[in-house]
Amino acid sequence: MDGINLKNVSHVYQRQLILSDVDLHVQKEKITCLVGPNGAGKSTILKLFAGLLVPLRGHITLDNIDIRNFTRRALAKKLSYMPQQCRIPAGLTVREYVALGRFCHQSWFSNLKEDDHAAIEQAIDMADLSRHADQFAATLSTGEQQRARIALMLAQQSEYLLLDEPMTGLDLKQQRNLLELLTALRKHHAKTIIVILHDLHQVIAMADEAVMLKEGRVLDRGQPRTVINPHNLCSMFDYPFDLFAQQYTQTGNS
Amino acid sequence: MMKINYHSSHRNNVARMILLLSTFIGIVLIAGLLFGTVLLDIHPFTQTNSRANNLAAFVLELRLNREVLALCCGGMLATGSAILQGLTRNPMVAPDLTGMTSIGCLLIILCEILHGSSPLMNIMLGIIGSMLGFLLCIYLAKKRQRLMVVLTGITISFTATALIQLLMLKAPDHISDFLQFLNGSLYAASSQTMVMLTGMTLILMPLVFVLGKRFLVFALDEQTSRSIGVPFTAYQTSCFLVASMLIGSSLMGVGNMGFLGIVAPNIARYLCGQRPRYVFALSFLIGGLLYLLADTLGRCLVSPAEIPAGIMTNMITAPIFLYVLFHFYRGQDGWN
Repeated sequence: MDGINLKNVSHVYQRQLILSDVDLHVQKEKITCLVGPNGAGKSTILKLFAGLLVPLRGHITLDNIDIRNFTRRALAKKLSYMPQQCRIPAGLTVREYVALGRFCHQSWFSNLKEDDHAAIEQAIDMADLSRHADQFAATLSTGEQQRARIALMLAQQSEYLLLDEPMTGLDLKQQRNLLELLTALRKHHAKTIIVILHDLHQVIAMADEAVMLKEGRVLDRGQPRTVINPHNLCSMFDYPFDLFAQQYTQTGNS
Repeated sequence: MMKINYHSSHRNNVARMILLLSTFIGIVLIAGLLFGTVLLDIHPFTQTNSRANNLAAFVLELRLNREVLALCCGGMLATGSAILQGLTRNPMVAPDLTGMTSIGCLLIILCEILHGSSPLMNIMLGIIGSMLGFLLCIYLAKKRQRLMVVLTGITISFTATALIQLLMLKAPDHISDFLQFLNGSLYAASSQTMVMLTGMTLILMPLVFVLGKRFLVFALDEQTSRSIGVPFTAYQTSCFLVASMLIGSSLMGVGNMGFLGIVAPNIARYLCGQRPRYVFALSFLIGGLLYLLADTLGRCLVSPAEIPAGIMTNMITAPIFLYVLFHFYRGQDGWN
């Protein structure tokens, strides 16, 4: 099976069970959203995918190859990851910052080539940062820094994109833009996107598949319109959601 | 087009700075050869008086020896500190504030008292000691926050310095000359040490520039740099190894004085920004120049007595550093 596969994965962090026996299959060229309350293990799953954590038990395969068999560079060519919080270095312009994303495509001594420059410009353009390309990244606003980080990820030109709460700090228009960007990336560039979101409206708007997590287990998965229902929401957040959710799914269906 | 202009102008700027610093180093080198307790005359070379000629050659060799040593040691210390500061993203990390120099010196003195040592052994011990010091500091600090690292380092450093002073009280007479190296005195340094340290410089500095090519990734957070494909642990470890070799081998020349390690990289950063390789190159030149200047002044000012170069460095770099700080620091912190 192509795509990313988690098989019986358990993970423990500081003696706390974060994931217990999770089986998960992420389809290729689809947008998968991970939904769940804080501490449900969403970020851990993303880090496991990105090879930043090694699971205590279980196997993770990426396109049928065990993820442990990839070198860092080979993995970075296939898959890029955007953490929840990242540090934007001072003293680098946006363009220089985004250029770091080309690391995995360069040999140690080579400088940026034509296609590297093209990829960087394209990434900056996609993230809507052309106006700020020559400004220092650290002087931008939080939302713009977030977009710079997204641009760095795009410059990596990998098939798989993992985003951990990318909407944090973005204003409504930019959230809308990012949503459209991700949808377009899947459609026109055949990217596989895995994203953690808290806004269920956005999940419904863009996801092909939603995975609901609670306390380290997969609660439900499938079409967002079917899995986002009052029952699931109630068991996920321990809070009666029915009225609002019902209304929303109805308007969504019409 | 804008971008290309920006880069090339920046590069020109740095090139000009490197040229300027090299010229300064050249001037100080020549001046140092001529001046000193014995004012060297150019005449003997043109005359056929072989005795004067021999004497002049002897003095010249002695001074050249010291000057090359000062240049290498100051430069290596500064470059090593620049690497460490980049790795920890902490502009306050200096070899003496992390316990590197003091533990290195402690090992060197212990070995000298117990066993008697050779220059090669001293250099090896310096390297081992500086690695130990830094690892101890990082291990004890656990959370790698700036303040924690510096506080832990200072604690280690003062403990080790206290031990050194204890050893010095009890030290046998025949090594009291040897202990001069603690203050960064170069006059006891042998030509053997000079040859070895020059060799170390010639080996390590190219390595620094090879490693420095992708050093910018350390400005990113660890997760990001891993996810763009950096073999983070391996890269970090090799940078650390090179840095502690640089600092450890400079110990025989600079002793337990690390102020230069804070000053030179910071001046370099104010002058040329954050580009790692420029910072390393400028750090080497600035560190070398300052230490050379300190040694030459210390030798000439109160001759025939001598002020140890380490003490002299602390005296002359403070005003220079303050000047650069007020003139070039524009509130840009390299790391956040």
